[in-house]
Amino acid sequence: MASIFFIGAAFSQVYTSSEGSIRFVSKTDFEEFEAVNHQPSVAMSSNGKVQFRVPVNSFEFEKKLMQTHFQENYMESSKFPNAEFKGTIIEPDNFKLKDGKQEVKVKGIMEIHGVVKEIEATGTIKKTKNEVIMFGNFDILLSDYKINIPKNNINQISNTITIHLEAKLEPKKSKN
Amino acid sequence: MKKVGLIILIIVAIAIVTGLFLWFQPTSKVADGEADFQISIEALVNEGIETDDSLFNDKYVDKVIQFSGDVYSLNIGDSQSEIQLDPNTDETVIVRASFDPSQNSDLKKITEGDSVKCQCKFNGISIPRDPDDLLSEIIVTFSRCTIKK
Repeated sequence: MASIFFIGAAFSQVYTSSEGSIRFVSKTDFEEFEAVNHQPSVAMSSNGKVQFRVPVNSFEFEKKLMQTHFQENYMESSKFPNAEFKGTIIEPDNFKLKDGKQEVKVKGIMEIHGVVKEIEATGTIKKTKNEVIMFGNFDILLSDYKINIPKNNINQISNTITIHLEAKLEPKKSKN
Repeated sequence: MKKVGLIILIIVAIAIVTGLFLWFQPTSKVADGEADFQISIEALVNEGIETDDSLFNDKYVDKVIQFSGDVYSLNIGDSQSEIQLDPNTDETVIVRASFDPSQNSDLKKITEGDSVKCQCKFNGISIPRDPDDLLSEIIVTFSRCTIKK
């Protein structure tokens, strides 16, 4: 009986994304722009572990020149092609995924441009029978990740970037 | 003197127009033209695992690659569409190829299980580093894809 309890406690269902997007917004007094990435890979477990990984080159800008600068000069995507977050839901305590909507706080390690930093983010998780919808928002400082804004771009690009994540997840399937 | 002034004015005007053109030029939605590489996903993944990350990324990231695979899943949307391909490798690999909505008419002719050839911009490979990663597969991502006949 005790061994069944421990096996039950250790098992947690993993959900992975079937659709999702990450959008970041830069806003200064002079300019506002955003870029969208439709290829984040997102996963969470029913006991509150969360992970996402984003290919940097999948961020799409309206203007080609901005896209080139972002990839080559700021993010150096050929050296650091992915950004990644790995963390755990800290609020509510002892999180368990259940049907309905839950407001959550997540804490974990964000890696961007080869630099790792601990961050916290808030979000909501809504579960229906076989689907989990996740929304998350947080701010990062580019300077924390050694992404330097040239002096002549300081009015156009904010050091504070707001990141919005949304994803639809389903129980992880194994490939046959 | 007047002629010199006129020539300088013309050069400045051309420079301004060129600058404005470059600044406002939209991002391309499709990786068309000649492919930089034609390579199997298996070979790409093996090279990604065995080669130094910097060398591999310098060689392939942001380049146009042509490759084939069987359609594992298909998701056609208004803002973005995606095919996941089964590359028939030994490793657990997910290949994600995203398409601009302009390609939806070609995608609607495809069903799961079909064999397709795609030409895309390669965005990178992510290889799980920790045994406890929830994202436990090797994920290969492409964007600006087209279906090649």
